[in-house]
Amino acid sequence: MGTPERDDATGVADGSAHGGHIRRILRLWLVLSVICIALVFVINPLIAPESASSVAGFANLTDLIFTALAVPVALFVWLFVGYSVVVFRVRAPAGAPVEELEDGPPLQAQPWQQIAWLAVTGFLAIFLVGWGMFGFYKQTTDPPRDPLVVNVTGQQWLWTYSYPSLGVQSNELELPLRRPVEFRVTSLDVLHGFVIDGLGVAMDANPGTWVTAPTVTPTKLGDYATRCVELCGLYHSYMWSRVKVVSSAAFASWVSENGGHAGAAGNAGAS
Amino acid sequence: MAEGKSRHVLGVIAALAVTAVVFVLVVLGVRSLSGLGYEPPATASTTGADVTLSVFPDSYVCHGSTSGAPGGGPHSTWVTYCPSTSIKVPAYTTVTVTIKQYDTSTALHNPFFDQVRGTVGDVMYVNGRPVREVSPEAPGHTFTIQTPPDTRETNLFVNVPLPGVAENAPSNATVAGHSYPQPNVIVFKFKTGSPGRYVWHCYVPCGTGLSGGQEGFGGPMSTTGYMAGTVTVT
Repeated sequence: MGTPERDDATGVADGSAHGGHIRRILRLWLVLSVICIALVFVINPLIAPESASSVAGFANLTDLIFTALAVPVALFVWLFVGYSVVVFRVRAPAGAPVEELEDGPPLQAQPWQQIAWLAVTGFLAIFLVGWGMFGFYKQTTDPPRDPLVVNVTGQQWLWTYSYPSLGVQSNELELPLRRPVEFRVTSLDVLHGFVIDGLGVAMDANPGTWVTAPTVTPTKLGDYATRCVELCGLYHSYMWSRVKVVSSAAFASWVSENGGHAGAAGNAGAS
Repeated sequence: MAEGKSRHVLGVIAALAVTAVVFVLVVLGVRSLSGLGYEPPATASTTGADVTLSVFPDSYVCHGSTSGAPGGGPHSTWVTYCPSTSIKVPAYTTVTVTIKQYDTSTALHNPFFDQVRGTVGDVMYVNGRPVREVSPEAPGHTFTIQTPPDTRETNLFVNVPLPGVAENAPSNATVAGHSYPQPNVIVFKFKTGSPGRYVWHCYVPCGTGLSGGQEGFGGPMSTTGYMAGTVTVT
């Protein structure tokens, strides 16, 4: 980075050099953006939450795309500020008191800059809205027929589950692989927040009402956990339960062991 | 120039001092959180493979009075387990628990807790009679042990609904100078696994506070030392 041309009196770069500074910042921004976006695509999948359902997969993809879009915007702002702080910093001549420094010339608005900034950020905002609407559309139109309904009840400080179609109650959540599940969540006392790590489920548990969300389809066998994410009192941090995603056969067996109708577990809504 | 420099130095020193003060305050605040809620001071832990507990409709016997003199601690009208809510039991053992239930019934809000779960044979004995399930109106309290997320090695879950005594039962039992109805005596066994720390809680809304259909989940239900505590497997 070369030394910018400065006004002798103020130490501030003169107008003729602005174009050079902007080109330099843009070149730097372009290079850094390419590098950082590449890093986002490498690092994000490594630190993203586990994706074990249709919903969680879309959530992770959304996180990746939004981060990649945010990086150049953030870099542009930081670079502009950083460059200005370093290059346009006004220093007092040797021996002169700081108080005698004068403010630099006022910045004049450049219409093309304002239009470009509004256009870029406006386009990004519209894209984000469109992306969200697309995701919502995907999850709500043509929902799977006959999903496995699980009623989730939050009570200080335990989650309990009932499978109305199977006649099973449990304090642990067992889900069959690749079968759509519809959670209906409520609370008996205070506000709770029902979250299943890995499955992308996050719902409010409100007293006196049932909350439903689009169905979620587990796509990976394994052990997961629910949490309460709404501070709910003394043992809030202990309000969790195990979640197991198992094969259809194992699920039918579990239903049978818990006194449910194993036939219904194996048939209804299987996909 | 020198004046500006000294002002900078003073600013840095002031910022460091403020940061240090804030840090010390945060550390002191965190260290003061030695426990959750109120812990009754005069009760010892219940230790061993045979655990005996009582549930009283008030705190006179357990909190602040052991000789029959009026006591009750800071909340004498709060329902409470007794003599302790800190229970220690040995690992890999069948533990026998006896609970004397002196309180009346309060309806359950969650039918999940109607059933005896996690005990040996999924059964409890109420006054000597085997019981696996009670009606939602019957329990006065539950004794429910659950596994915290940081103790995943052994999953321990025990739920025992404790039937309440009749509303019109005569108070002909005297405990530490206080009169109560004859209690229901509930006995059950459960097996412990590897050492760990668990929590237990009552899931009948038998406390105070809150409103709008959520009554009974506050007060003793939200305070350790009354209707919630720990089970330490050693």
